[in-house]
Amino acid sequence: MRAAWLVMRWEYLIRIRSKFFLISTILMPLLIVGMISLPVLLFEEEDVQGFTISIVDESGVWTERIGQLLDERHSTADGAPMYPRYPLFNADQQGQRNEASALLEAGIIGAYLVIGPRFEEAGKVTFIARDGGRIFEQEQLHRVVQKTWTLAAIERHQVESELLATLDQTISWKSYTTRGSGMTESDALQAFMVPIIYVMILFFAVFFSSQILMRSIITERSNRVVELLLSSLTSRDLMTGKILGLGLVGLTQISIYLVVTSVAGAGYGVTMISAEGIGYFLLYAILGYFLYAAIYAAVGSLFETEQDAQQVIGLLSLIPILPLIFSSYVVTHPDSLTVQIASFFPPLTPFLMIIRLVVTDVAWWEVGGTVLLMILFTVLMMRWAGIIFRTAILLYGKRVTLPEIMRWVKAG
Amino acid sequence: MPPGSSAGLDVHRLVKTFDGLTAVNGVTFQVERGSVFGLLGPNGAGKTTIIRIIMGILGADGGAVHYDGHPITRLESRRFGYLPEERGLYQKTRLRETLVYLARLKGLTQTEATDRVDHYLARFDLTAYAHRNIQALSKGNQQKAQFIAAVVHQPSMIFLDEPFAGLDPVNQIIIKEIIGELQAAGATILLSTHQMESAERLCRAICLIDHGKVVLEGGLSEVKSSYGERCVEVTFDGAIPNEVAQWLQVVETRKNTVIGNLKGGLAPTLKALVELSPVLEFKVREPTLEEIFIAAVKGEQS
Repeated sequence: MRAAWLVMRWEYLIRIRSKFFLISTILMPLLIVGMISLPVLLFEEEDVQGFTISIVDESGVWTERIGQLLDERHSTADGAPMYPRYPLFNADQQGQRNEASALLEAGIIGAYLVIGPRFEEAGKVTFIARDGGRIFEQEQLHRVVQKTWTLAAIERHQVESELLATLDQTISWKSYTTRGSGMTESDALQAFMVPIIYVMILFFAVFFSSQILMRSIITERSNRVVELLLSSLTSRDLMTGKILGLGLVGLTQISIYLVVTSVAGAGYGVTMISAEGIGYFLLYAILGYFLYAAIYAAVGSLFETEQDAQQVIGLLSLIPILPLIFSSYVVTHPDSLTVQIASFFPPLTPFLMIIRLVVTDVAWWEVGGTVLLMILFTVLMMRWAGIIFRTAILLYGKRVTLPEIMRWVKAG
Repeated sequence: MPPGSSAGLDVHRLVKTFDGLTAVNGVTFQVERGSVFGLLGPNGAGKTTIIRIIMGILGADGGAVHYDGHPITRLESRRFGYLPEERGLYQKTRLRETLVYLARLKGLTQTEATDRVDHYLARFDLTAYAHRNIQALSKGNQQKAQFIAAVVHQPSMIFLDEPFAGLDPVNQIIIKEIIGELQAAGATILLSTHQMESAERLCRAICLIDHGKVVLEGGLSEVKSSYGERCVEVTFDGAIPNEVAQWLQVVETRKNTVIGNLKGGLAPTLKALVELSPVLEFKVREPTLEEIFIAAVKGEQS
């Protein structure tokens, strides 16, 4: 036990002060903060620049109306219109089109609108820009033209001005979610992003630690330190110490991430996870780590170089990537039968349950059942990993086959 | 003498098989407490496997190991010093802290470990590298660091598997000196090596192993005298006649001189050789350990 403690301490201390840990631990929260803030930044209206437009409009009526509303709604910081109109001098539509097209080609205007014939009834508009995109500007222009068209229709049908004012308003829409007896204000984007962020944290922490575990076993095998270690302690103490030491590294990382996400979340006014949620998160994170640590330790003891192990690692990483890929489905269908059943498959349990616990109310028996099943499965995997580790760790220059491993496990 | 009745290490009929291949086949030998013992043999003879079994790293399929009169315990063997043949240390950790960690695994407290490590770093002229990463050390210095890891906790029994491999003569001398000091302090040392010259100089007793079996075992002087009467050096006045092989098991030939072990009696052999070709010189000599080694291994193979 003393030896396992010494190994744990050693593994923890040398990893925690390594540059790799520092870099990956800093990069990961940056990525998370980026994920939270990127969509918010993208939708920031101040970033929309606007540009000069021309309006191809044979009737000449719409140009003025649209222009008026545009100037009312969209102006730059210093009060200048965001979408100044460049006038067209031709009277017929074809002439106006040619003129606008030439202006666009010359870079004088950023885009032009073509108001279709009998616009008040047909309601057809074409938007032509040089660089296809400009989605935010297009969206603003679209809304203004739509509004102009609606107002004209209301006028035409001689609707009372009072009703007109009412119709012009937008209704207020607020979204709440109920959890137990409480009720919290929610935001669709936030409800979608938060669980995914936690799954990412779980994924990174569990795999960061168990991959380092595997790498450290392979390194000790290839530089032969393992023989020196095994002359001083049992393979059981060595494996226990390593798994616990690197588990603590993962836990340290998770703690940093949880603090950073909570602080970043609070900064954006986003409710992250509750105290109860953190409890569940840690429970599933620890169980998940032990499960994958057992698997990676066993794999590590079978190979002498990382390249040799690469194929198996690739195959192994597919299992936890699945819930990442399907996480958007799990977020929107947390109580579907498929998700419920998949939650009882131990390698997926932590990832699915974290999403479900953040998004919905999970029945107590599901939490209890998945935890119990994971504990049983993890204990079994640890035992097998112990046998494989003990048997394979000093086996050099020999490729171990699956039937051989099965034989060891049976015999052990 | 029943197994385990002597003070020291007693290896009795040790057997180990790997996938049906017998690597160690009934090996028996005793190492007297406080002595330096040579476990010799060609590559792949089974020396490392025997050491790993004694150290408790591998389990035996048969036989027993006793230490100071009782079956050896894992706790005891974990306190033994061990320099494995396959060298290696962590590369990205600092020298001093790594040695302190390894010493602590051997049971020392933090203070004891630090003091001893500092003592040995100074002894091996490595103090300047104490806080460097191990990968920055030369190969020779890494070897010395590994030797420190094997002896730092002042074990009662030390296993040194090829301790001189890869070291320059100056450092070989330092290691030999330290082996002497450790022995003087009461440690029992088992040395596994190909370097017969070093084994001859350091060991009181040897055990020669080939193909997992003991070929020769005993005190160095006994082994030598049992071989001594049988080893001759013959210098011919001209080329060595081919028929020599009928009378001698040839160990070495130099120009017109042949060194070999007698196949028959001394007198009939001399008579026969003189008849083959004029003999300038005929010497009965004490064989070197190397010659015994070669002869024994060759004899085993034939």
